[in-house]
Amino acid sequence: MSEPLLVAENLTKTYQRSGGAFGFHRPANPALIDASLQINRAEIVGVVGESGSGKTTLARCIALLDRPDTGRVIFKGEDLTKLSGADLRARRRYIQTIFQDPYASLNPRMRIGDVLEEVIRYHRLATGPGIAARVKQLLDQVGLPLSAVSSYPAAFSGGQRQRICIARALAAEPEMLIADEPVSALDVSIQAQVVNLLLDLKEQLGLSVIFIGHDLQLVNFIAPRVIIMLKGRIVETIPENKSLLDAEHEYTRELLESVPRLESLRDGGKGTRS
Amino acid sequence: MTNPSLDSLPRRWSLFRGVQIRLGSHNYSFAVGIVGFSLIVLAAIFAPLLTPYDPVALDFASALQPPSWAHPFGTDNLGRDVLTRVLYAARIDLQIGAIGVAFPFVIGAVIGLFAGYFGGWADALIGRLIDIVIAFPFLVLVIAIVAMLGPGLVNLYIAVTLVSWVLYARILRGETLALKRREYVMAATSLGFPHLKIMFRHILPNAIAPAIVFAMSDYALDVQLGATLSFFGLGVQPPTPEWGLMIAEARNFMLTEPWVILFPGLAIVVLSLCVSLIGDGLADRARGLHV
Amino acid sequence: MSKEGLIVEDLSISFVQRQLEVVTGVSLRIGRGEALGLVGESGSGKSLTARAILGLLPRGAVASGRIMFDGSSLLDLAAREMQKLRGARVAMIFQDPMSSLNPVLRVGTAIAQVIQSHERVGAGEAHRRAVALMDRVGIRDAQERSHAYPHQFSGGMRQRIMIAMALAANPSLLLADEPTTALDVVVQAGILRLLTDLRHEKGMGLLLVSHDLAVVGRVSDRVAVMYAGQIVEEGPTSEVLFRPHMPYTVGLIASVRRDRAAARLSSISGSPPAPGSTSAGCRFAPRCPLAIDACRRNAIPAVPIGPGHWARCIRTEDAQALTAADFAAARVPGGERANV
Repeated sequence: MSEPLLVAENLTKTYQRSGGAFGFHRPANPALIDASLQINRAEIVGVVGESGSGKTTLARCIALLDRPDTGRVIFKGEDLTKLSGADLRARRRYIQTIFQDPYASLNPRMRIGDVLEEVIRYHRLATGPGIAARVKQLLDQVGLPLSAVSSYPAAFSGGQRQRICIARALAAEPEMLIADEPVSALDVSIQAQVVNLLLDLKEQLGLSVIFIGHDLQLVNFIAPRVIIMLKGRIVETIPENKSLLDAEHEYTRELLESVPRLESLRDGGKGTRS
Repeated sequence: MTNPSLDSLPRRWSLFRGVQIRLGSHNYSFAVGIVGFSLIVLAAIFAPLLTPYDPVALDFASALQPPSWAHPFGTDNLGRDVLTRVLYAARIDLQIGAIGVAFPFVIGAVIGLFAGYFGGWADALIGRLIDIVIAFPFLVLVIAIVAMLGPGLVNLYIAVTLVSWVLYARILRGETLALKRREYVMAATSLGFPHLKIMFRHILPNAIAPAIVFAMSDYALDVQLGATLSFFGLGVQPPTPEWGLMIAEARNFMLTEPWVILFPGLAIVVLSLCVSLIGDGLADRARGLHV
Repeated sequence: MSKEGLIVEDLSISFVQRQLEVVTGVSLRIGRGEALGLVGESGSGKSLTARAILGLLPRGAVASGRIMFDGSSLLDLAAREMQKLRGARVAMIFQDPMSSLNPVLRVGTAIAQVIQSHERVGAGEAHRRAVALMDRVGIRDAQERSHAYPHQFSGGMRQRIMIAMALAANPSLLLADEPTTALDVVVQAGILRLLTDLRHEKGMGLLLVSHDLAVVGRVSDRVAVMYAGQIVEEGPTSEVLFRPHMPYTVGLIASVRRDRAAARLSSISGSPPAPGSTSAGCRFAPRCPLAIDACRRNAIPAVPIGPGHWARCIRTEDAQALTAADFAAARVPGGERANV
C-alpha cells in the first residue's frame, strides 16, 4: 500500500487562558489529547463528536492553524510542525479548511471574484487571461453563476456562501480538504446539496477529505471510516467495512441512539437501529 | 451580526451624543452633519470672497460696534470684523481637528493592528502603555506636554499625537483580537498569505469602522482642545484668528459687548455638533453592517 | 367543537413598512394536552407564527386573523391582559436559554419569582416549589444548585431551567421554539424525553417549532409543515412522515434519510423564495418536479387526504411516488437563489 498523504501523530493541544490577574494563567483542560489519525490519497475520513470533544481543535492542528503542543503532522513525508515562516506558508495551500459558519467565513468587504483571484494570483496558479478562465471554472465547479464575481458575500445565502468557501479552497489547488461541520449551520434541504457537492468534488479531483460533524449517521454516510471523539480524545475508530451497529464504545452507542431518526419512529421504537 | 465593539468605544466627549434631527420617521442627523460641515469648510476656503475686511488689520475708529449690516457679527476691541475673523479662524480650527486626528489615527491604528495580530510581549507592553496613558486626564496631559515643549501649533500637534494614539491603538487592537479568530482570517492564513497581506487586506478594512466613528468625536474634541490651549496662550498666537483665542481676547467685554465672545463660541458649538452628527450617523451605519 | 385549547385561524403576519407578508393564512388547532409539531426551514415563518400567539412579534410586524385561546381572542387582548396570560396559562421557551435567563439572578430565585408573580405564596414556599421543579426537570442536587447562577450551568441544563420556569405557573400550553437546536444530540434526546413526559403528566398542550422533522416526529401527535409562509401539509405525525402527499414534504423527508446504498444524499434543488417574491400559485412550484401550469396559475386549496390529513397540492396522487431521482433530475444550475 502506498504511503498515506497525511499522518497526524499524538497531537495534544491546551489553549492558554490568559487574562488572569497579574498575568497568572489559570490551568486549562487540554482541548486535544494524544490524537493520531492518518488519511490516504482520495480517502474520506469522518470525525464525530459533540461540542467540546476536540474535533475542531484536531482540524486546526492538522491544518497548522493552531500549533499543537506536542505531536507531529507529517504531510507527504514532511513534518509540518517543524516548519515556520515562508516554508510553512508555501505548504499551507495544500491543506484547505471549510469552516462551519458560512457567515463568518468570507471577508465582507471583498467581491467574490476578488476573493478567488487573490488566491490564484498570490500562488501564481494562472496568469493573464487564464485567471478569469480559472475563476469561471471554479464557480462552475461549485454550481454558482459567473455573475457572482461582482457581488459581495452579503448577497448570498448560507448554502451559497459555503459553495463560495469551497471554491476559494479549490482555488489554492489543495490535495486535502478539512470540512469542519460544513453543513451544520445550513437548512436541511440545503445540507444535502452541499454534502453532494463535496462528494462530487472529491471524486473529480481526487481530494482527501476529513469530514467533521456531530451527526454520526450523516458523517458515516459520507465517510466509510469514522473516528469518534470525546473530551479531547479519540475513543473509537469505526473501520471502513464495519457497520455503526457494531460500534464497541459505549459513547458511540449513546450517540447513535440519541439522534432522532424518522426510520425509527415508524416502528414506534426509541432506538435508531435501522 | 451587529458590531458590539461600537458600544464600548471610549467616549471622552459626549455633549451631543444622541442628538437627532428628525422629520417624520426619517432621521436626517447624518445629512445635516455632512451639509453643515461642508458649509463650514467652504466658508473657510472662500473666506476672502465672503467678506471685504482683513482679519488682522486694526481699525480703532470702529472698535466694539454691535452687529449691523456692515458688520453682521459686530467688531472687536481692535475694530476687526468678528464675522471675518470667525471665517478665517475656521481655517486654523479645521486644520487643528484634521491634523489632531490624522496623526494619532494612523500611528495608533498601525500599532494597535500589529499588537493585536502578533500578541506576545510587545502586545503586553503596548497594553500597559495604553492603560497608563488612559489613566491620566487627557487635557492635563496635553497641557503638561505643551507647557514643556513650549507654545505653538506644531507642539500642540505633537502633544495630541503623543496622547491620542493610544485610544486608536486600543480600538484597533481590540478589533484585531476579535477578527484574528474569525474564519475568513483563518482561511487567509491557511491559503498561505503573508502576515502583512492578512493584516492590511483582511483585518484592517473590517476593523477600522469603530476607529473612524471615534475619530469624528475626537475631531470635535481636538477643535475644542485647540481653542482651550489658545485660550490659555499655549496654542495659536495673536493676532492669528482662532476661535479659542478670540474668546480669550474678548473675555473682558463679555458682559458689555457679548457679540465679541458669542460668535466664536457658537462657531465651536456648531462645528462640534456637525461632526458629532456625522459620527453618530457613521456609527449607526457601521452597526447595521453585516460583518 | 370544544373551545378549549388554541385555535389559530387564517393568521397572516406582515412587515407593514416593507409591505412584506411573511406568514399567509395559517390555521392551527391544539386541543388540551395535544402536541403539534410545526416544521419548516429558516424563513418559513414558523417562529413568527409561534411568537404571534403570545404577542411577541418583532417591531413593525403586524398579525391579522384570529387567535383564540380557551375562548378568548388573543389578538384583541390589551397589553396588560396579555402579560397576565403569558407565563401563567401559556408559556414559551426559546432556542438560546442563556439570553432568556437573567445572568445576575440565582436560578432558584428566578424560578421562585415566576411562581410568586402568578400566585400569592411566601418566599419560602416559592423557593421550595422552585427546587421541586428543578428536581422534576432532571437537575441533580436541585437544592444546592438552586443557588447557582445561569453561567454555572451547561446549555442543556439551562434549557431545563427554562423549562422549569415555564412550568412554574402550571401553563396549559407550552410553546417551544427550537428548544434543542443549540444542544448536542445526547442532551437533545434528554430534553425531548422530558418534554414528552411532562406533557403527559400535566396534560399540557405543546407547540413544538423545529426545522428537524425527526425531532418533531418524536414528540408530537400531529405535524404541520410550513413552506414560504404557508402551511403546505398537516396531519397525524405518522401519516405526514410516512405517507407524505405534498412534494416538499416528500423531498424534505428524503433529504434526511441516510441510505448507505445510495451514493448521494437526496436533495431538493434550488432554495425557498424570498418573502414577497411569490406568485399566486403554489409557492413550491419553482422547485417541484411535479409542477404543471395549473400549479403556477391559481392559489392551491387544501386538499383533504385522510382523517385530519390535508395537503396544499393538486398532485397529491403522484407526490407519493416521487423518488430521490426525481428531485435530482429537477436540479437547477446555480443551486440556490441569491437574495440580492
